[in-house]
Amino acid sequence: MRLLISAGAVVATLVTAGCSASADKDNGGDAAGFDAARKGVVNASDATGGTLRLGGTSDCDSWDPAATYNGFCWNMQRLMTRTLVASPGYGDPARTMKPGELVPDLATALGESNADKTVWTYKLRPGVKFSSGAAITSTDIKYGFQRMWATDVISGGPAGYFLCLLDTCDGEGNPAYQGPYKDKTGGLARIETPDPQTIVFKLTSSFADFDYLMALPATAPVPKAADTGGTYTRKVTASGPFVMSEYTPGQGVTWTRNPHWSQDTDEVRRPKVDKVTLTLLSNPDDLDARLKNGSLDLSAGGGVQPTFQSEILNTASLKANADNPVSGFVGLFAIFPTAPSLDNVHCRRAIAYALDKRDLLVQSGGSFGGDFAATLLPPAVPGHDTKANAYPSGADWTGDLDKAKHELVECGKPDGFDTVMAYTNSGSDPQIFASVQAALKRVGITVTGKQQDESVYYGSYIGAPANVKQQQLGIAAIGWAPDYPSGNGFLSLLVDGARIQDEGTTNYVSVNDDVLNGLIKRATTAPLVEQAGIFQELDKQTMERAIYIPYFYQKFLLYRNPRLTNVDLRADLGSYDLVNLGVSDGK
Amino acid sequence: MLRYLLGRIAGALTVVVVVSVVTFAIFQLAPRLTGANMAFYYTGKSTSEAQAAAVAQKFGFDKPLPEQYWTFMSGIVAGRDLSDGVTEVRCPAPCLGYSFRQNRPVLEMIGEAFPVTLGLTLGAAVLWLLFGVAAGVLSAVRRGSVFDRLATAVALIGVSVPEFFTGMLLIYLLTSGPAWLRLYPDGINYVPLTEDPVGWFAAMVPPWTCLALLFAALYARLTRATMLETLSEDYVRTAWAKGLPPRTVVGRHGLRAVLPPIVTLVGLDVGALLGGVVLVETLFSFPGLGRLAYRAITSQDLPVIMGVTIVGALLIVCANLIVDLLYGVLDPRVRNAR
Repeated sequence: MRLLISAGAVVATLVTAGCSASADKDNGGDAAGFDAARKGVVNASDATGGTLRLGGTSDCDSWDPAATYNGFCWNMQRLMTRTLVASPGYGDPARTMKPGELVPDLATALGESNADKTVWTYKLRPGVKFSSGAAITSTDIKYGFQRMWATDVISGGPAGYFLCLLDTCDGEGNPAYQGPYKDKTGGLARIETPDPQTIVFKLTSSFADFDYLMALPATAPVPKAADTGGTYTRKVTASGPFVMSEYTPGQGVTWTRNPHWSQDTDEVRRPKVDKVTLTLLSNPDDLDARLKNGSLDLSAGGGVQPTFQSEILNTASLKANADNPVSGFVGLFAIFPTAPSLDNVHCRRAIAYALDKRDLLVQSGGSFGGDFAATLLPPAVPGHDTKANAYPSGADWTGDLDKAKHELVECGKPDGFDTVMAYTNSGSDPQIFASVQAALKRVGITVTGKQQDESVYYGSYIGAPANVKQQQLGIAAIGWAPDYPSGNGFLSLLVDGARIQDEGTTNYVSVNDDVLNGLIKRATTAPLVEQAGIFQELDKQTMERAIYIPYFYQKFLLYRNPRLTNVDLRADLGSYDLVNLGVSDGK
Repeated sequence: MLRYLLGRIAGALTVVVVVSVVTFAIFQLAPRLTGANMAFYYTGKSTSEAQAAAVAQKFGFDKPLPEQYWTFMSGIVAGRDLSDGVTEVRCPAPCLGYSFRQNRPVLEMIGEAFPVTLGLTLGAAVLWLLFGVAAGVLSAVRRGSVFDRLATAVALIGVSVPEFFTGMLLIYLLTSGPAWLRLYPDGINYVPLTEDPVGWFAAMVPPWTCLALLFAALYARLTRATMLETLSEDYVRTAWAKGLPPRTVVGRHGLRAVLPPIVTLVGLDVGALLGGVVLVETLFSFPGLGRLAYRAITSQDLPVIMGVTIVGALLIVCANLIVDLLYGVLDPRVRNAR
């Protein structure tokens, strides 16, 4: 499973975003200024009280932690739900952050595993409570997991990570356990709760990244007595510092402080405000107008609209309150070896060299909308190599036509060839297609387009190998983002031979390569410290095969109200760490 | 008059039935033509196959369309038991369907949204009638004057400028514009009339203005043209010759003749707007029928789309019925005609 959207929609979608802030963060920064929150904490303050006023243009897919799969919703889940481990608390000048860092949250320490990474044990902190006042026990954590198996009731979340990892599945990937609503006997024996403070996960296979999974909101505890199944989204029992006190679907949410949350039990969150509101507006320009006049503090979803973006960049006072982080999204092309001519790696490399990445960047929002991409792993994921560039596009990034032509000769197609490109009908995908078409025409590669609705694009169109062959697709535009900052949550999904399936595969190019599979297998048991190197190698090997070609790392232009304190960017989601924000005027 | 009334009501009911058949057919047939699984339009993309199968069985998507239509219409009269494959839900009469995306009966959602749209439409209608008809009458009476030329120019601008432009301009000026114009520093937020009548009125003024600007221009043009034609009639000339005061000539003889086409147009416009002021509600983020429909369309929440469409059609039919009845009152020749 993954968070993905079309390459074009990447530009406009207000979903999750990672940022490269962490690596170059020196902490303790205080003064506002352009990109200040990427370099340190802006307006560090201990002042408490007031209301954090968020705005957004779309409601969450669900407020049920197990049923949401949107990055900005995951960020807001941090207001009200806690997990065993979590991304570190931002907004704390004393903390030094590293890409992909995790810290204990409900647990006293990160997961303790056996040698082959199949058994993971966590101990809960004492004194942690739900908003109902009841103590959070290992049984509540387990129940939160059990709900994910009720895929007929709780759907839409990242359950795919867990179902076969913690239960026996049949040949079609269906787990034996049916969830707590159908199977009231307890079930899910692979999760053990020997005492209220201990929870043990016995996996079906090695999984070195298990701590990352434990940081997903879907693993938050849910008290069985408060579970209302599919309607839990409307009344979530909080374990975090805020509790949802009012929710009008499509219009807004209000969170107030959870009286049973204690700072003594939480090292991740340092909430400052008394209340958080989310106003949902259907007009994104109205949202920008409110950001500008200060009646809203932040956009919960992401970047500002082009009009306000231009105003920000041309007005010093506004620009001083903006940040432009790189998000986790990568715009890339899948090059299908199953297509005529493209079974030859040189023909695929010819495409890689001939792409005009400068024009692709322009079509994707310009320099404030993204950076040129030369590796598959984005900057926020450990293993990202800032120096690698397998297919240099020339000094101006418009393509290296000489090398492209040379590769065509090597491929035996010196005059080029014809191929088909798939893209969605959303965002700037049509412009991306036009750019690719024009760029490849320069070396004699003629590209015709096949446009598909985004709702079926990834699942049954490019996600179905038989369809890819039947349609003779050669290239497909893809938007890809990590669910968590690890190569396993990003790159493995694209090239793992075990993930090839009839429909809904994420290994779009159906590559089943011993070298790539071997690296993926190595990563499943390797310590976290070694994984960056393994995934860097996987990135390099994948690029050499020219089966995926990245062209841009998405960036957002974010605007923050000057009254906000403790402003910092989350490396894993690329948006401000909402839970730790304060307001200087106490209002 | 009774015969006229019954005839019109029977006609309106026929139209409602026809509209419901057409709407139902469109929404049931379209997904079939594209090969999409109908169940997903009811329960969402993340629905499991098992859940989709249960929904298809419960809603009888495999049954003939007439049978499905009959079940749908029966629900409006007697209510229905519905299911999203997991949750069994009783949708009480009049049941227009149930949104499993939001876990609420469609009628309840429409019931919440309708007052917003009603307030928007009626308030705007008062404004555009007041300014449009007055400007049209004055322009006709003072034909060729500075006022006439000015009113014509303003009307031309009003007709030419689309609502989304006016709306955005109003939002920008009133929330982020020059300080003296920044009357809504916290944004233009809808407040229910029952909670805060003053706040409701204040929030409504910008969208009213946005809607009224367009319609007032249209009505001013229509009124002016009809008035000019009427003022050139023999009976008006006779009235002037009799020495009647201008107020009587224009108000009683002239304006009365202008009213029937105005009333017809108002009925049609108000009816159409009641079905959902999509653009204005979306621009101002007002939770009315238009925004409800827009959200339902973007999330492919089929029961809500169908419900809003049928209610919208019903409102237009009702508005037309009222117009027909008023027409009978305004012009006795209409009600006496066979």
